[in-house]
Amino acid sequence: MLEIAVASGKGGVGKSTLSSTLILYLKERGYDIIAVDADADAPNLHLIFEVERWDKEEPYSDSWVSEIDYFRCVNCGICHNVCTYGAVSLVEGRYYINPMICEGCLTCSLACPEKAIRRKRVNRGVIRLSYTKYGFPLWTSELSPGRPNSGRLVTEIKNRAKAMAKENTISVVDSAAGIGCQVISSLSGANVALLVAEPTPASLSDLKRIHIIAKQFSLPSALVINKYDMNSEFVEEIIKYAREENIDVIGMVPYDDHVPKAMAEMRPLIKQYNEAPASKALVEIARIVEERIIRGWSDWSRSHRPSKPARYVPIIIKPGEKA
Amino acid sequence: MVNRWGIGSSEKMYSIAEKIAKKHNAVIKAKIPYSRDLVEAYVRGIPIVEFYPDHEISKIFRSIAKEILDVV
Repeated sequence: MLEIAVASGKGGVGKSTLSSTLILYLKERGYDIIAVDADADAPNLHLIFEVERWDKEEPYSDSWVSEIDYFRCVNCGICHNVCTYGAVSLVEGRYYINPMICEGCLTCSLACPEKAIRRKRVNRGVIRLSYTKYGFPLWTSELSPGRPNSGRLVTEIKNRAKAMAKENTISVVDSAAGIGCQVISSLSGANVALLVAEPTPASLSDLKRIHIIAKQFSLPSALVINKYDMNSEFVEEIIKYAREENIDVIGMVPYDDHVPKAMAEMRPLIKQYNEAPASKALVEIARIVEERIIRGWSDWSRSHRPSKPARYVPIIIKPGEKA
Repeated sequence: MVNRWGIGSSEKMYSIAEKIAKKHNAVIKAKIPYSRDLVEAYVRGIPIVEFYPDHEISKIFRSIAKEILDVV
């Protein structure tokens, strides 16, 4: 199995458009494809692929919150003092743990002299599977509002995808914006980081940050420059960075009104407007991914794998010392 | 605020947005039309109200800003 993680750091630069094109192109070329929507906070790949019902939908309840047993509670307030998340507050004269803030760390339970705090299982979110009308399975998940750690959900659906993958399966992971928890989960265990950037300083800055994570995982990286003609003077800057970092620039996509249009019409771009300039550029990029990265995997990965990253040395501050 | 007004099935989506707004006791204040001029200002790193002060979008932003100032 080959896992391609599409990521960008910055939002709105074209991750889902690139992912969906790549998925449909490779599917049409006869590959066994699994799609993973790795944005558990705001999943929407299913909207592009016109998913109407879920073939599988199950709660993912590996998460806990603390709860006060008011028959035992003497209202001493120790739980309030020890909670580092500020989840315990006085409500109408009684201490109360706000489940939206509680991370389920159980510190309050350990500190409680009356043993009046128990933990309760709660749903972190839902995981879903659909066999799309385009003939490939799509795994997606949705974090319950207020619950922490969307990365756990992303890891879970990536594992589910892995479990159903065959030797020659291609898994395309459409990661979330940012470089946080769930994006790290998207890149962890992947084989390729397919990065997307637009020619703006903000996008370049975020590209550098996402690439640090890709390097930490020793992932070879490829780069697509989207909307290149909206600020062509800046394209050179992006390419310069990519060259210094041994990132393979595999294509550029023009700014094209058909892209937001297809999105609003909730259809994959290459199905809705296959003659649009952006469609043609993206299909060409998908072709290069197939030829250069998938079929030429051993050569390509060898020549683009980053050198081992510097070991991460945590700074340890002992009690009483100053940072 | 409804952004990128005019692409896709805006009218249909707008009525959905209106319903949601009503449910949460919110008002839809403005529709920002989809415009490449906004993209142009964005890539230059200049707010559209400075880049194209007379633009339809700039006018919308100014009137919203004025309303906020009136409240505070």
